[in-house]
Amino acid sequence: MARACRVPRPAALLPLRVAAVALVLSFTSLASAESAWKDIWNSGSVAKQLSVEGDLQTRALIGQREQSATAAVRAANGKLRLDYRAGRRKWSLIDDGSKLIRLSPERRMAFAFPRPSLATDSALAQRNYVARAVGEAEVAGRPVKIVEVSRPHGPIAWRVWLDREYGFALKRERYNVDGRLVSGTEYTTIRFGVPVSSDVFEIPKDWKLVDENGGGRRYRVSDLSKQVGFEVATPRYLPQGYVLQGGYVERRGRHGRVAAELRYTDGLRLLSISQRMKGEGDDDRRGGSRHRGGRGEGRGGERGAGERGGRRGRGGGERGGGRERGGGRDGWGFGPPQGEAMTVIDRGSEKALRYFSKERVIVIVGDLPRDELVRVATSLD
Amino acid sequence: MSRELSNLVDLVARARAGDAGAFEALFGSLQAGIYSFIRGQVREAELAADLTQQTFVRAWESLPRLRQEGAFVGWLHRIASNLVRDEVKSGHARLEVAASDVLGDPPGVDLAPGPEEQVASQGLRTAVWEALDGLPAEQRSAVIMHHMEGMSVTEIAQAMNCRPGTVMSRLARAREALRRKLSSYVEDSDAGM
Amino acid sequence: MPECDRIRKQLSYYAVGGVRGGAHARVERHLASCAACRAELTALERTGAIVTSVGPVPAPPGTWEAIRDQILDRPRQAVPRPARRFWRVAIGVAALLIFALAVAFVRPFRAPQPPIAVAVELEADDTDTPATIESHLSAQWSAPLADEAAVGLRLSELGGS
Repeated sequence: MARACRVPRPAALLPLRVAAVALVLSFTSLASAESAWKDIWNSGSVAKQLSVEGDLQTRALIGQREQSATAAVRAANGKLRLDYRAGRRKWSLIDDGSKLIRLSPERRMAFAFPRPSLATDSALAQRNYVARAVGEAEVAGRPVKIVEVSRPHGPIAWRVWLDREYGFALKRERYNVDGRLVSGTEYTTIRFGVPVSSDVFEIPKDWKLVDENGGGRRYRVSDLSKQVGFEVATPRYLPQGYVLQGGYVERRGRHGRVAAELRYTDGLRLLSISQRMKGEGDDDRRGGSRHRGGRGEGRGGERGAGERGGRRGRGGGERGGGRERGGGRDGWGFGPPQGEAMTVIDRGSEKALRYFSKERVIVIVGDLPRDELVRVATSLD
Repeated sequence: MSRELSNLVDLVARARAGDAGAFEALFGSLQAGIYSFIRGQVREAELAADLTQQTFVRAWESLPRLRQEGAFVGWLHRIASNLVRDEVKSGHARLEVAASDVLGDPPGVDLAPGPEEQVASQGLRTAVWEALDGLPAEQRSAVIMHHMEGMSVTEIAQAMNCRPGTVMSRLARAREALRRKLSSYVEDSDAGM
Repeated sequence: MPECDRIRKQLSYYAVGGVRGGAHARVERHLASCAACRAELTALERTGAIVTSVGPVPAPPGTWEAIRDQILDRPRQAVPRPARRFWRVAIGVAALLIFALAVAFVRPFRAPQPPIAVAVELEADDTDTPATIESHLSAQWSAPLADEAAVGLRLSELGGS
């Protein structure tokens, strides 16, 4: 049977071609995305294994000012030491694997903080962000591969220059959620595999060590409530992609008031929500922190107090009754109470907001748009 | 050791409304009495201090439930008594007290500092506490509340959850016993005035 | 004297103010004429004064601080006010009904958002925010893709070195 063979005309083939090319491209980019992510995760683990000696320059945008410093770096066995220098200021930071220790040479004192180790949830990060290799370059005399990470359809969040041989990050740029470059670090010299003696990561014997912070133990919210002695409020609103990473006990201020800290993550960025019950000096505040340059009356701040008493008694606290009926909130009850302006402090790589609810003092820190921060804060009420 | 009732009522009302400064003032004027009251009942200084602390914390937490400000002192003592009773029940404390235990306070407590007259009154203090030691617990508590804390019979009755007549008879019987035990001081014309 | 014995038994009650009415008058009458009983009463009164003069033992130092730390960290129990509770509930129910009607028939409008100001400096009396920023940064140190050198720079700027 003779049937005219319908030879598809080139024009009709076009959609098919485009589809084919798109398919191929998407596979490639998928592959490249996968390898980009692999490089990223690898750079983190490699940094803990390599022994490294080098110098870097770092700069950070803090508020409106840019701070910069140089640092001599030594790393080995998962420990890291940075000896900073900025103008005439000198200080050092040691990560000994379990704590962060800040050394102050003029005072011959060392301050230790907990350094909570966040289990890397790569699946979460990969759900919320996209990574792609964007090119090649040279840093500190070594060839590198450049990888960019961003939220899908969002501005760039990180750019990292990874050493081709070791995968180690030789240069980094961090952008905040508004797309602004907020920190950058670049190695100027680096040597791998050099022996680093372990006493480099130790505090000089005759220095005073101040270790006031808690152990950084992670709790579930219900257990955290028991630890802090009040019911820990959780936000009803969370920015997209964020999940709870854990709860921590913190001590605040001169009198060591206990506060509960909740940490959320979207895989790469962090959101910290800290709360404590209002106390003396807090009662008369409503809404957000005051503007600088004073609108509203000034108030004596939290008064300093004497030493902490030794004993802790028993007894629980309950929540006071009554919800505040706020006008000015949006239809779903979020947003600041009517007439109250909220002041958000922009520190560059994060923003901070202090909010006084009916019974709590709440501080939110995160790299979020301003109104998201406000929504999270007010959803804790 | 008189307390202006109106001032107390005002402080209690403010503390109940959340004024921690007012509560601190209340603590200031009542702490020694409560501590002595508790020390009159439990053996260890540290335990008494701990119970004193718990008494005030619990009082702060429950203040909203107190309707009559004037009843504060008696109410505070009841809180203290309940806490002592709980400690005794749980076997953490015994009710006998030794005068030396009361006066052998941890360093920092001002018992009798300074000039020579104080040495004499140190002896008196010891004698009084030893005499109290010999009293039955309820009489001892009543005496501490009345004489050392300056509480009225009504307040003591509220604190001990009994009738004023009962308070009277406890005070009276204690007074008789103490008069005999402290006779050397009582007969001395310079005693304690 | 038998009357003295009787009166003596009441003297301690009399001394603490526990004798009233007729009995009180009887004691007074006896005291007016009996030096021995008067002396005994004086002794009883002195006893009371001695005990009063010794005074209470103060609580050890640090007691207030321990109390204050606890009362400031904990809110107290809410006290339901029975009298008002009914009205609160009634108003709440009414409000709910009105809201439900409003939602059903009227589009809820978005009230204008108050302005969100941005500042760059921490307030002087604010110890909470710097503490939270510090622990946020410490956690950031361990986060994937963290630029430790820059985080360290921020930490030092926050705390002062």
